[in-house]
This record gives sequence, structure tokens and C-alpha cells, in this order.
Amino acid sequence: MTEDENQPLLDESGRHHTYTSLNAYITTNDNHERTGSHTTFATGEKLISGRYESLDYECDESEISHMEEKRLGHQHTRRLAVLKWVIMLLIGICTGLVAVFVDFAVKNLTKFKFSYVQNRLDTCLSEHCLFTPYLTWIAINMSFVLVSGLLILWEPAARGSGIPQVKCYLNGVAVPHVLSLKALIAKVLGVIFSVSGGLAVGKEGPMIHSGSIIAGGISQGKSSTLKFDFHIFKHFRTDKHKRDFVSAGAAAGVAAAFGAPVGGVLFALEEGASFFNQQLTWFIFFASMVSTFTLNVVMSAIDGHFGDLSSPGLINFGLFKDVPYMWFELPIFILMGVMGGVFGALFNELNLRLTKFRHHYINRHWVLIIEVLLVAATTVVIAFVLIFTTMNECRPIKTQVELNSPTIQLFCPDGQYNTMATIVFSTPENAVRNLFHSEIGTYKAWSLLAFCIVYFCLTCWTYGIIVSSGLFIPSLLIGASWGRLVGIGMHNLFPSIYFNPGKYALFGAASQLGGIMRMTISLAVILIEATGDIVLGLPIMIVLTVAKLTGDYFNEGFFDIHIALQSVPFLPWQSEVFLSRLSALSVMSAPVTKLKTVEKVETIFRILRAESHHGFPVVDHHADETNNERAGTFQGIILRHQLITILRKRNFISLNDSLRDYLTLDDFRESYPRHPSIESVHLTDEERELYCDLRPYMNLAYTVSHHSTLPRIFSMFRGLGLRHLVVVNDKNEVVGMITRKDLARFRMIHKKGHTSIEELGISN
Amino acid sequence: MLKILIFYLSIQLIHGDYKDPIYPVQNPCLAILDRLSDMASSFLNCAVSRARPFKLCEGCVDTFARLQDLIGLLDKTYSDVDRTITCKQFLESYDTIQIVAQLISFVQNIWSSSFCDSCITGYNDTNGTIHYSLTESTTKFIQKKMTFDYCIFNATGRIVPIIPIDLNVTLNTNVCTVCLPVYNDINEFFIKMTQDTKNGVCMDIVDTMNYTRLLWSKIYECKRHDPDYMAVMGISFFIPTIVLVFYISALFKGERTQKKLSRQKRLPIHSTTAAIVGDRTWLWSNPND
Repeated sequence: MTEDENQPLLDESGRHHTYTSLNAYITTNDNHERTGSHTTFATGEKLISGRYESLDYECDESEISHMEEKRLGHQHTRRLAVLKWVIMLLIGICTGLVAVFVDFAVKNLTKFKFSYVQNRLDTCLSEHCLFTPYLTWIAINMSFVLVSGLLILWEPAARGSGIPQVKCYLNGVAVPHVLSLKALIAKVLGVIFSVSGGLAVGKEGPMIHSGSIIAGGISQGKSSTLKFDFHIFKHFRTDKHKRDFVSAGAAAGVAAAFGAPVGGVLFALEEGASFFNQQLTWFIFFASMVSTFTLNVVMSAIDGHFGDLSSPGLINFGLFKDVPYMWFELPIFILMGVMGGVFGALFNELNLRLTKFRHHYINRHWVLIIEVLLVAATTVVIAFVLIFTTMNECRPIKTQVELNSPTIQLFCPDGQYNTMATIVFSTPENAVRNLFHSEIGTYKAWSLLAFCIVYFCLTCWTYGIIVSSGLFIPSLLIGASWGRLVGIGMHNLFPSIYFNPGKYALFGAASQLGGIMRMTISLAVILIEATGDIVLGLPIMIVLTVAKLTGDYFNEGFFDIHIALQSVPFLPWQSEVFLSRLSALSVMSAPVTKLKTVEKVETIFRILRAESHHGFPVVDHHADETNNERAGTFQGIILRHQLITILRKRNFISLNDSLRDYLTLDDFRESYPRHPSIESVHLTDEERELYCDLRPYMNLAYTVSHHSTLPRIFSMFRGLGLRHLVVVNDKNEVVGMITRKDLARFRMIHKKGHTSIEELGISN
Repeated sequence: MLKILIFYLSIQLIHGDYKDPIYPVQNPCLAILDRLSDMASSFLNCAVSRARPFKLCEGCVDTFARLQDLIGLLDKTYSDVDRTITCKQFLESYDTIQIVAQLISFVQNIWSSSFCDSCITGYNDTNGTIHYSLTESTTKFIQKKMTFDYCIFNATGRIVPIIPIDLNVTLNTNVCTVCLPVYNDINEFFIKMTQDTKNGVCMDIVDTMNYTRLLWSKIYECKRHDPDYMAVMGISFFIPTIVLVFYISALFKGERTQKKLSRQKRLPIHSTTAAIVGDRTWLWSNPND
């Protein structure tokens, strides 16, 4: 009966469960050690990358932390609360300012580019030199995008939308460089140049990432990149506090991008923060509000009417005034939701395949840069071809708004403008607004269809190249174009009833966005806030719900796919049901490297050099010399960086001495967040013979019994935000250690009605 | 006694003093109202008749100025001797429909949404005669339009039609070449004007320009676009071809990178759990064993 006790999930006879264990052959330690290194071609979601570590979200429960708490007293807690408000204020203001900067730069660069190209176009249409503006346009876009691409090569963490990275960080994974100043610079400048470069990208996703970086930076009061330190906010230099601020920063980013403070809070709640409480929600709301209003104040000052606080966020859908909907339209909305779900799932699937292709074959720097340039050039070609094929589609310039806004005449007779050219030439935000608000008959059905299909493919192709790029606006644009198409169709089917095509464009946009992102409440609230119309809340909710349900039938949400593709050990809300067949024994890492409460310096040094682990259980060394493996009851956990700090500070004692001069928490916080490596520690031979007393520094960590099942361990891990979970036996002896990767490597896969557990390999 | 008093009072009510401010016989406000109705109808008359082709600003400025004058008078005139109730209050605040107020806002809305103020300035009514002046750009525009019309007249031998929609002309082919400089001149002047004006170009001018353009491109069929399709088509095929070549060569030339799997410490499969967990008898959950 003891044959297979630690592999109960291997019995698969007569069940639909198959167990593919990548680790089965590499984990058999001792006897027949496999020679050489094991490699795999598996990438992306079939692997967990070893370069991601967890954040230390646990409260420090060591003796020295108790001492500090006692020393600082209650006053300190109050001071911290005040400081938190100040930091939230700063986060809001800075995020708002960055948003203004991005918007201002994009607007002016785009204006400069288009005015130049348009002038050349106008003259060249009659003078047989059409290829010069064409080539100029291509050249300008390619150079803009090249800048963006080079920035990403400089700091790869700024690639893409940044939402997956922020989501991982808030889930408790330390994504390398995700909050560095370099990433902020690359992100902000990169998004300016990629949007002005005419790519099918938005600037909203990067805004969220920028907000998070700003929050992470401000709350620390120092920059490790620039090597300066204000010596303020020292007490927030823990992962726990930093993570709270980062979630506020993400919310402030959403608030600035969409002009939706409540949406921002809900975004942080839904997508980001895994750990929430009432007070944090209020803090985050404050930061979002400040960010929105900073944006409003500065934007209104730029527009020339300072003091008008009603200038909305980066994207402005325009108010939907008096847009009623009738009961008989609800089925149409549901159908549109289904369409959005299907298109969204298709988009995700295509992008997934494309991303895998890129992982495999396009991975050198120069190839990546060439790809970016090609995408930029092709985008222009497609725009030009679109204009050319719809050259006879002209609308007279009638209203004063049309007269003032940049309308593009191109091949149209004087006094008229080309509708397609106007969409293609304006920024995506303006295009969305046009689709929402221009009157019926502005766009012809066929050209809208062509635009929709082309833009769908273009967006799908563009996401994943090395630029920082958002997906919100392109998705909205795709959805708005087919939504408007539905509106036009309804109008043609039932000419007697007036169907506002702009309204359908809005629901199409909502549905497409929901189908791709699979977000629910935050998306609904963002859209309601951005359109400023609570009346449309119900249909937006219906459309989003249906789109999510339909999309989930086919695959996962876009950002979840990309998180998996980056091999991040991401922990979802809860473990899946079937995993209860796994117990702590089959999940944990064993044997565990343990330290004694008073350990020899030499041993510590050797262990740190040999092992890459981050936490080591400290055991009481009651001698059981026969079997050293299970000697000692569990006392606590000591972290790697603590040990290194102890070694660096030479906090040693001789064997029979007792520790007198304690290190304080400040000593440990000093090097946060980039702790020095063990290679930087040099010890003399005399020092190696001394001892370390680990008792005041070790953290009283959580333990779990070896009987526990995986779902239970999982919820503990997730609920408490743990990094290390020690598995003990009935005698409180350490038998194993569970970390994030041990849990994340099990994944349920549902395929053709079969359900199986898959175990992922962990790469270096 | 009381009955007599009530009776007396009711008699007084019936044969009330009709010089009371609410029931004036010769109230100045009623005179203004009378005049207002005349002026409003003449303005509306003018506006409707000049709706197509649009000539509201220039054509109706005199009636509008008179109306404005009268509207100004509403605030200055009082309906009662004590000068407490202005005519505006008298005419507008005793019912919910407020015909006068609606009329005034309607007229002013027409005027302002045509942006007439950007081509006509300084109109005023002095003793029944209306003075007004056109802005500089407007006079220039009118001059240019006249030059254009003259050119067309010379080239076609016909007067430029007021409405360019129903026109059966046998086309004179050299109109386009002869009048192109004049046309370009007026067109560019108009574009410059739209860019310079902040709040809006006067609708008279916009409409004139629209008709001129319509005339030019639809009636005389003058086109100035002659794109060179070949160059554009060439570029449009060239770049997608490069893209295709790029991806195909990436597929064949690109190398899949291998990743090292890290060794994980796991329980040895064949070790007895008892050795690890401790002396206690191992009870796994399978009750069949």
C-alpha cells in the first residue's frame, strides 16, 4: 500500500484524468541522477519560468519587529496613515500629469505629421507626385515606431500593454524591472511614439502601467536606478505596502486614461489587488479622483479655459444625450454580445498563435526591429489602400464642427470630404468618437465592413511587436465599426423605426472589448463613466455579460493568455476542484535545506552559495544524529536577504556567547528592493568559524500539516499572500516547503470533454 | 353693516379702475407689442425668402437691427407710472407660454447660428435708418466671387446661375482651364478664412462658397485630381511582399531556443513516506486499502 502513496494522482485506469508529468523524470533525486541538463522546447504557457520570484507580502513577525513596534508606539501608526494620504495625493497628481504629457505629445506629433502629409497630398494629387507623400508618410511612421522599438530593446519590461505585468505584480509575483524608472521612461516615450507612429495601438494600457510605476516609485522615496534616496517613507519599503500603493497607481492610471475614477477603483479590485480592505479601497478612490481632476485642470488650462474642471480623460467618447432604447432592442443587444464574444475569442486565439510564432522564430534583436518597421509600413499601406478604394465616398462638409475639424478632402470634389480618410488620418480616439456620434448615412456599409476586417487583422498583428501598446482603443474601434454596421443594417431592415447607429456602435465597442478582455464590472463602469450616461448601463451590462460568457466558452481572456505565455506562476482566485486529489506531500519540495537556530557562519555561507532558495526554515537543533534529515522542530523562517544582511553586517557571536547588539529592521530595509547577492559577501577564515543567532530575526511563518489537500493549501497561500509555506509532520518537524511555483505548476486542462491535470516544467 | 361693505367692495371690483397697471388701456408696452409683431413678421418674411440661396445676413440685417432695437426697448420702457414693472416683465412673466420670449430667442438663435456677426458688424438703427458695415474679409470675398462670376460669364457666355442644380448647359470645355486661377484664388481665400475665424464663418459666405464649388466640380465638371496610380500601386504591393518574405524566412531561418529545466526537489517516488513523515503509521485517504 505504500507503493504509490505519494503519487495518488497517477492512477488513471478507467478515468478521464491523464497525468503528464514533465517532472516525473527529473525529480527522482539520488540513485540514478540524470546526466547533463534537461532542456525543453516548450515555452509560454507550457512552462513556468524560474526567473519570477514571489513578493514578501507576509507581515514580519520576528522579535526585532516586535521590538520596533514597541519602540515607535501608537503615534507611529497615525503618522503612517497621514503619510499614506500624502503619498496617494502625490500618486494621483503625478499620474494625471504624465497622462497630460502623453496626450499633449501624441496630439502635437500627430498634428505635425498629418498636416505635413496632407499638404503634400493636396498638391501632389494634381501634380503626379503622389508617391512622395506616400513614402514620406511611411518614412515618418517608421522612424517614430523605430524610436519606440529601440526604447523597448533598452528596457524590455515596457513591452506591450503592461496590464499583464501589473496584474502579475499585484498577484504577488516580482516581475523583474516592472516597476523601474527605466520602464516608466520607456513606457511613456514608447507609447507616445507608437501612437503617433500610426500603429493600431492605444495609450490606455500603458497609462495603467505608468501609474503603477509612479506609485511604486513615489511610495519608496528613492530610486535604485538613479542612486538617490530622499530618506523619506522608509517604513513603506516593504512589499506589503508597496503593493498597496501600486494598486492605487494602477487605479489612478485607469482614472486618468478614461476619466473614470470609479472604474479605476473597480479595475484595481477586479484585475489587480488580490488583497483588499475597506480602507485601501478608500485610499485608492482618493488617488483615482486626484488623478482625474489633475488631468482635468491641466487639460482645461491647455485648451485655454483654466478652471473648467469638466474636461474629461484621455479618451472622451462624448456624451450620449437622449439616446433611448426600447424593450424590443434587448434581443439585438444580446446577439451583439454573442458576436463580440465570438470575435473576441477569435482575436485572442489568433494573437495567441502569432505570439507563439514570435516566441519561437522572431527572437533576435534585429529581427524584432525589422518586424516593427514592417508593421509600421504596412499600416500606412493599408490605410492608403483603404482610402483609395473608397475614394468616391464623399460627404459634403455641412456642420460647423466638420468645418473646424480636420476633414480630409483627397479625391473628393471641393467642399466635400472623404469619410474613410478622416477615420484613417485622425487618432484612434477621434475615430471612435466619429463612429459613435456622426449622423446616420455618414459611412457606407461596405467601407465600414472593409475597415472593420482590416483593422481587426492589423490590431491582432500589431499586439506583440516590441512597442508599448494598449489594446483598449483598437478593440473599441473594431467593435464600434461593426456595431455601427449592425445599426445601419437595422435601419435598412426597419426603415420606419429610427435606430441610432451611434448607440449600436457603442454597444459593439463594449461587446468587442468584453470579448477580448473578459472584464466585467470595471469595464461596464468605465464605459458608463466615459460616455457619461447611466441610462445605457443596463444594455452595456447585458452586452458585456453575454460577450464574456460566449468568449469563455472558447478560450481565456486576452491578458490571462499573455500572462500564461510569459510563464508566470500566477495564482488564480481559487484552485480547481479536481486538484483535491493532490496532497501537501505531492506538491511540496523536499528535502528542505534547514538552518539551526544558532548556525555556524561557514554553513550559512556555503548554503547561500549553493542554493538559490529564498527562504530557509530554522529548526531547533535537538540532536537526532542518526537521521539528520528530520532533526529539529520548526521554529521559523529566515529569508535569504536577511541572512546576507547579517553576514554583511558581521552580526556574529562565538559559540557560547549570546547575542547583544541586535540589528534593527532599518538595517534589513536598507537594501530594499534590490538586495545584494551572496557573491558580494567576503568573509575571513576567522569569521567563518563564528556563529549566527537567527532567533531574533526569524519570522514566525505559517505551517501546514502534511495531510492537507491542495485546495486548502492553495486558499491559504492565496488568502494570506504567502511566499513560503512550511509543511510539518505531526511532531512539528519540517518535511517540506511549498512555494508559489509548486502550486502554480498544476493546471487543469479541458479538452474535448476530457479533463486532465497537467504539470508544467519549471525552467531556469 | 358688514353685508353692505362686502356689497360695496364687490361693486368696486366689477367697476374697477382700469387704469390699474395690470389692465392699462393705453399702456406703452402694448404699443411695443404691436410693433414687435410687425417687425418679427417682416424679419421672418425676409429670412424665409432668403433661405435658399442663403443670404440671411446681408439681406435681413435691416429688419434684424430694427428688431434688436425694439427688443432693447423692452427693458427700458415701463408699463406703470411708478416705473417698477418693465415691459419685459410685463410681457413675459404673466403666463407660462411666453410668446414674446420664445420669439426673441428664436430670432436671435437664427442670427447667431448663422454666425452673421462675423461678416456684418456695427449695425444699428438710428431714427429708422439702418447703418451697417461688412467686415474686410467679407468684402474681399464678395469681390473675388464677382471676379469668378465674371470669368465664367466670359468663358461660357451665360450668367452664372443662382442655383447650380438645374442647369442644362452644353459644356464649354475651356472653362476649367480659363477660370482655374480665379477659382483657386477664391477657394484658397475661403480655406484661409475658415482657418482664421475662431467661432465660425458667416453662413452667407459658406453657402456661396458651397454653391461655387458645386458649380465648379459638378456642373462644369472641373477636376483637378489626376493621381498617378502606378506608383501608388507599386508601393502598395512592394511592402506586403517584403512582409511575406520576412515571415517565411523567419519560419525557416529562425531558431527555436531551448530552455533548461531546473531540477526540482521532490519526494523520491519509491521512498517510503514513513521515513519522511515520521514514525506514525501512514494513513492515506484510500479506505479500500
